[in-house]
Amino acid sequence: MKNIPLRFHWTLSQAGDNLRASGEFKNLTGLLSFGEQLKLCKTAEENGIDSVLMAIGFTRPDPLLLAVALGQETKRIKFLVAVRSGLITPAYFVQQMNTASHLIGDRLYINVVSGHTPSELKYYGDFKNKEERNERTKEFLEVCHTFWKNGNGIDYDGAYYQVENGAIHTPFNSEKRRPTIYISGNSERAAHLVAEHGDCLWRFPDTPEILSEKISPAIEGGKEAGLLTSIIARPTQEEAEKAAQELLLNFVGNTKEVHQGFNERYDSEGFREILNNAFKNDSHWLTPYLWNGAVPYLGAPAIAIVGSYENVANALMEYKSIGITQFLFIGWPDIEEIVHFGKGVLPLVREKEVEQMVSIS
Amino acid sequence: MKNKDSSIHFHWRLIQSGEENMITATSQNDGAKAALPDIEQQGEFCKIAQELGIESVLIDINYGKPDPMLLPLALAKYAPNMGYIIAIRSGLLSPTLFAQQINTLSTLIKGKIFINIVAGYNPAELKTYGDFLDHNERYARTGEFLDICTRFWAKKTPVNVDGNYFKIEEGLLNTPFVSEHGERPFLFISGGSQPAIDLSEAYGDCWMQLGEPPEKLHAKLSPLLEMGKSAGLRFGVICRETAEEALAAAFQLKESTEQDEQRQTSLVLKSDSYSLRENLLLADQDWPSSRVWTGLIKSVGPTGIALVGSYEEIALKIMEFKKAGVSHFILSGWPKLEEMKRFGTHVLPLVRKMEAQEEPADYLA
Repeated sequence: MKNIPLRFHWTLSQAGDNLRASGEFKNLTGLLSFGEQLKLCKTAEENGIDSVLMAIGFTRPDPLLLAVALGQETKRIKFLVAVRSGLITPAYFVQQMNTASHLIGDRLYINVVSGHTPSELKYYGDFKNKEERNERTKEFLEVCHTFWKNGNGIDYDGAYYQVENGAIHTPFNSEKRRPTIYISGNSERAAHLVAEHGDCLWRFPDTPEILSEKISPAIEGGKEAGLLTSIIARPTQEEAEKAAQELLLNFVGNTKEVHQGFNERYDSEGFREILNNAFKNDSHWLTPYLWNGAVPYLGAPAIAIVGSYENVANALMEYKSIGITQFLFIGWPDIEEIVHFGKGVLPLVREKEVEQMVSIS
Repeated sequence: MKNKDSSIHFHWRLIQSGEENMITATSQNDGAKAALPDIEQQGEFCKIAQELGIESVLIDINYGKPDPMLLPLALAKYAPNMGYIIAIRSGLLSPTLFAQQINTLSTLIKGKIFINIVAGYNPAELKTYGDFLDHNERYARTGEFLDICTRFWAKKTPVNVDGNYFKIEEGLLNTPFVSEHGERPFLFISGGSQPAIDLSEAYGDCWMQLGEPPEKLHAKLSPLLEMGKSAGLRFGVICRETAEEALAAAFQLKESTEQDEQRQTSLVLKSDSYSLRENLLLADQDWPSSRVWTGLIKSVGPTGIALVGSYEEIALKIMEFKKAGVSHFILSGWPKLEEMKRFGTHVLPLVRKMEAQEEPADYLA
């Protein structure tokens, strides 16, 4: 286990429109309030959050352009920019990322996703099946790495990408000459891809026993693993559980059946597994702190760590003990939750980390 | 849609990093500095351009430069109302993602967004981006690319296109284009060959070519103009108080750039662009038309074709082009900033004065 302080990130995806995931997907506007998003970035910046996730999809602004615009208005917060292979050539992606790194500094990470909704991928002209997308993503990363490492004289002859004597002159503006690479995925394959071409795996939470095995390829490859999870932390356990139940009140008259459709739209195993569990499970508590009660209404990313500040801090430390080193949180609503986390949970986590360090030495 | 505002639109090529005092354009794609944005200097340039009445700045695209899509976000801090011409090729990204990026940009800056669609002229460079298609195929792909973008901009969704190069099924894009300047970006189609004309007819707002003499232009442009499209030219400018001074400056430039002639010519010979070759042939004649000078083409490259003369002469020449149907100019100079200042301070006001006095132009009738 790496004895490094836990790092925390937050998703920006719903700033100013917190229950957007519960609505009819096709009607969501891609015009989000810049002011709300900036507010979220600044709140995150003040609450110990390292980066904000800029998701990608047809109901959103382009994540890289938005990151640059927000980066110009903030100082420290970093941007975890989502990218899918199949939308852009690796060379042009590298050129865009590198350019962005000169405009807002070394504050860019990338979040590599394979895409989980085939119907949406077709809006972008991507008709490949899951297996092919995974293979293409691997090639995409290989090509990007070569551009970042060498800058010119690049040849690549893959099944999906070919480059002949390629060059991108604008370098990535950091010491290591490339952005930190997060790879999202719940399959074993994703964990291996991290070991080979990434820095950190993102996956959904599960019980520590199950997770420990699933993240092992990444950890054994010398890389990190992190959890993408919702969080509901309040001063007491009772308040947290009440907040969780209140979240469900938003969906009165909005039946679970409507959201069974989530399941057909995804071809991601991780998404399906979480959804299936949530639809069949009566208790909705997988562990004393892991709750899937909102998943039927808000989708798989609504699986949540719920509890008092103390209990949530302990949960995070329990995950740390199996090798999880980073967390990417979603809140309902986000800004309120960031403050609960930053003021309530984070100081406890740091305290526990120090205690642990002292007891080890 | 005829252009109701009949005054000429002037655009200028954005200065590159490290180019402040550079006389020649020889480091265009090669200088290590050109690959790094210098936002302070480039932003100042935009601010001055805006003050001089230049409508937008052209941001090139190629492997040697920063990405043109992102620079306006930073430049807009210096010149909030400046327009930006973003160059794009069809082989770099999904048309849906391109439209999404442009739409996102439109919500983040106030200035007008122009797109300069180029087919690419250097096959060797295109292979960096995995683009191995030949000239005509690139144009065919560009047509499909524009077809898809145009449908998204016209909100003709869901988009269903089953093309040779792109396939989109039930395509939606909920990121809107939001601008006080229109419902979609203004589209320049660049190129001298027939496919470029065809694309301009089908999708463009303005057909943009390398500069050429005005004499035969009207006949060439008429079909497009009659369809309500506009036409534009790219020129270098060497303008001075007197014609003698302008000529002296021009010849001095030629002398100082002669060492690059061989290199530039070999670049053109490696290209599969129709208009680059035409342009090089033009260079056999030093003055294919009055004030139109080809002396720098061999050393500076295709955009070396220049308008040379006194302020008054250049203004008159521009009016001559206007009569032939040209309404957009993308200009440049050596160095860019100084020439833009001279042009904006002296030539542009003369043009506006001449425009105010001109008879209603028959091409608008």
